[in-house]
Amino acid sequence: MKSRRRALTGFAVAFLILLAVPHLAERMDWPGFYLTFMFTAFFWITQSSSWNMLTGYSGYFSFGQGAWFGVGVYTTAVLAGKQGWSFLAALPLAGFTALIVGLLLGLVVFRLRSLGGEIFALTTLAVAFVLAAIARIFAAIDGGRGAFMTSVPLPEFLGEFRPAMYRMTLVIMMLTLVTAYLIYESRLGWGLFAIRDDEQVARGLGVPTFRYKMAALGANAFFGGLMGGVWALQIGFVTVEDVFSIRVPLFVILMSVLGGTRHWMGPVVGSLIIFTIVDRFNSAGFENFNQVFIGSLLILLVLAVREGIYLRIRERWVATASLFGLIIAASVIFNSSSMVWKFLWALLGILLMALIPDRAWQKLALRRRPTPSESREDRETVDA
Amino acid sequence: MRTSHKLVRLLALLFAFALVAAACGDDEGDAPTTTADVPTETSAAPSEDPIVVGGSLALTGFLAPTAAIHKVAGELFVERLNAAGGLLGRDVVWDVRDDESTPDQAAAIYERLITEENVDLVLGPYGTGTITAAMAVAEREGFVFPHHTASLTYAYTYACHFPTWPVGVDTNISNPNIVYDALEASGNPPATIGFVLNEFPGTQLIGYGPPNSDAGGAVSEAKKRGWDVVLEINFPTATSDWAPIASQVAEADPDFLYVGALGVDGPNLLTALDAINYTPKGHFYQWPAPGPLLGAPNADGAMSVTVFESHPPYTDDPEAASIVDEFAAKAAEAGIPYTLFDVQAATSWTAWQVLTAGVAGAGSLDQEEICDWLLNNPVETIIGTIDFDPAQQNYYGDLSVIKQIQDGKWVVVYPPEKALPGATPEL
Repeated sequence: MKSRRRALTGFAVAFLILLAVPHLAERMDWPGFYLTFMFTAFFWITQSSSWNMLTGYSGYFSFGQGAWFGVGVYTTAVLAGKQGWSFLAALPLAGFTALIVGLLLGLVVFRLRSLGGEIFALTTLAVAFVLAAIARIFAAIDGGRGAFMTSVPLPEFLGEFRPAMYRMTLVIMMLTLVTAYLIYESRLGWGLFAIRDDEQVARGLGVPTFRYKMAALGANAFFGGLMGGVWALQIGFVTVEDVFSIRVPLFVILMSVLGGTRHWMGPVVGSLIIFTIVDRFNSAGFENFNQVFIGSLLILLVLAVREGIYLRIRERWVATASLFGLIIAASVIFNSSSMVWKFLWALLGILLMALIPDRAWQKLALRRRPTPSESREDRETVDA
Repeated sequence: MRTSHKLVRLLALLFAFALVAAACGDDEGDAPTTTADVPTETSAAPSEDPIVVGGSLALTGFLAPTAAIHKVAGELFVERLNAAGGLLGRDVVWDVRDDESTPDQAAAIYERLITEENVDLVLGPYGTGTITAAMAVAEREGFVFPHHTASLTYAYTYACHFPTWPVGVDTNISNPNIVYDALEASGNPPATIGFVLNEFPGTQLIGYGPPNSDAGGAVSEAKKRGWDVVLEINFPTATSDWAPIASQVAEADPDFLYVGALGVDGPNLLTALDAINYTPKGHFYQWPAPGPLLGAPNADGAMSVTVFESHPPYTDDPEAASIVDEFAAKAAEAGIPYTLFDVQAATSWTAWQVLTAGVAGAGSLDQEEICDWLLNNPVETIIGTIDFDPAQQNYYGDLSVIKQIQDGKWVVVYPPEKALPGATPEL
């Protein structure tokens, strides 16, 4: 209980600090791109963390993130973009519409035990195709003509477009992370991890598997859709091909797997690393090499750090934090590039740290053996 | 244990040292240091730095075959501009990124170009979706936004957007009627017409008009002329299986086939039609990649719209003729199969002309001044004089003419005053 209170206090402090960033940016005349970079990172963190609530915790591999995202995008595009609703009135419905679609899917697939494993994954992929076709057919949604979000006004209290996007994505990201943490720490989380390890055994032990999986899928769809609702503003012109493409689910999976799916922080770390690398590749004009690099990185890390980066670096947190700070400081002194580049160098430092094999690290640092009191290892170790 | 502590101490010591050093050092990289860092307040102060024009093109993805033409046209324009002394006495650099044919990538790129790379000017990407998304960013950032190939004319209300494909604000009415007028002028107008329309926003606008409007488009305008609409197919943008569409076309067998499509849709459909031994009696393609359509089976007689082709009277101007020649050489060098300077290249060229005329006219890189100048002055371009009309959302009438593949070449056939001497529409 004490650790939970401490964690929630940490979330609150982090939220307040991040909330102050737009004011700081304005006062210190930061390049506008910093806010854009941050709120895009918030977008990816939210998407991957919400995906992880279902797939990481319960082991049900989902390609449905594109569907929840798309439902959210089109809900605000239709209500705020076409029907003239106020954006903030339409936004919650983006989450709830995705939630309803998710629960309807869950009612079918979780009732039928034959729809497990690969079939579940394919079913979630098919949902995105079906939703895309529906959007394309019905003119009230899209009808193949796209939907404009460019003239949707934002409430004045949120500020100009960029700070407003920052604040909205920040709130949704924090809600997602707190939810991911609370599930992780709760009976629900334990139950989901038991389902991941062996669903039949979990059921035998009294875990209400159907209810737990529905809860995880609902949370996944709700936050994915809610963030999609905000993201419609950033896209500006919403088209079926773009929104329901494989890009969102693919990146979300990469980010979560890279960061580690067995801890709520894994997707956060994975999202930051992959998004920053992709962003800097794009910035440097090497956008076509993104997939080559990310793919190679994933292969390397899956082989070398199977548990994901987060759990690996958590074991070495003092050295990791020091290295991170050191690289940031060194790049501030010796490198005049933007803060985003400095952030990338520091993240690459973390990656290198994670790539050092356990045995080599133990030799290097003479790491002490874990004590019996260091629990949770059973939840956080890699599947055999 | 001792080694571990040593390692941590060493790292901590280095970290502390670095922080102290950082605190003493200055960070020139983060704060705006030049006028270019504050785009809306840029000035044309004498400088050796080049003027950077940022933008994206669909260098990959389904729009890439046609976007390649825009890339060559832009590069040639910048080369010639710099050879002639640049802009405001400074060289010009074009920073063009790949938006992968997707709107959200385009929006992200323009956001980055303006707020991180601090480019001085921007030029629109290729394609309706990407242009529309990028325009939203330009509007937020107060950047003048010339663009060449956006088709949702009714939707663009930004005061400083400058379209250079002259199709008119009511293009869903004007554009099909230019095609239909050409059919009437052939002396052999169709009695039946069939429509195959891509579910792409721009082609849907041409086909049916704006959403939530009863203005109509190509389909309703055909009916107004008393032509019998015997076929109406809408197909998804990413369609790869053309056989079912081809079968329906062959079965309906219209006198004239109106293909509201873009890129390589046309050649794909013609190939599928050829596979079932069907040749359209008359056919039109809205925005085809010109080269692939020329090489498609039974393409002779295919029509399309244009504003410039590489033949007289367009090349009567020696300047235009030299651009056409240089473009052909550069396009061949870039490996583009169709090397003629046509509507795609011409609208791209015009966008560059509008942008540079605005800067030269304003004598400044201040976005507001450039915008004001363009709104209040006509611009001489390769496709003629353009006079942006705010009352028509900066459009200025539909200047489209009809071209047709005759004897394996695209030639303008309608109206007579713009046609290749002696050429007429053939049905």
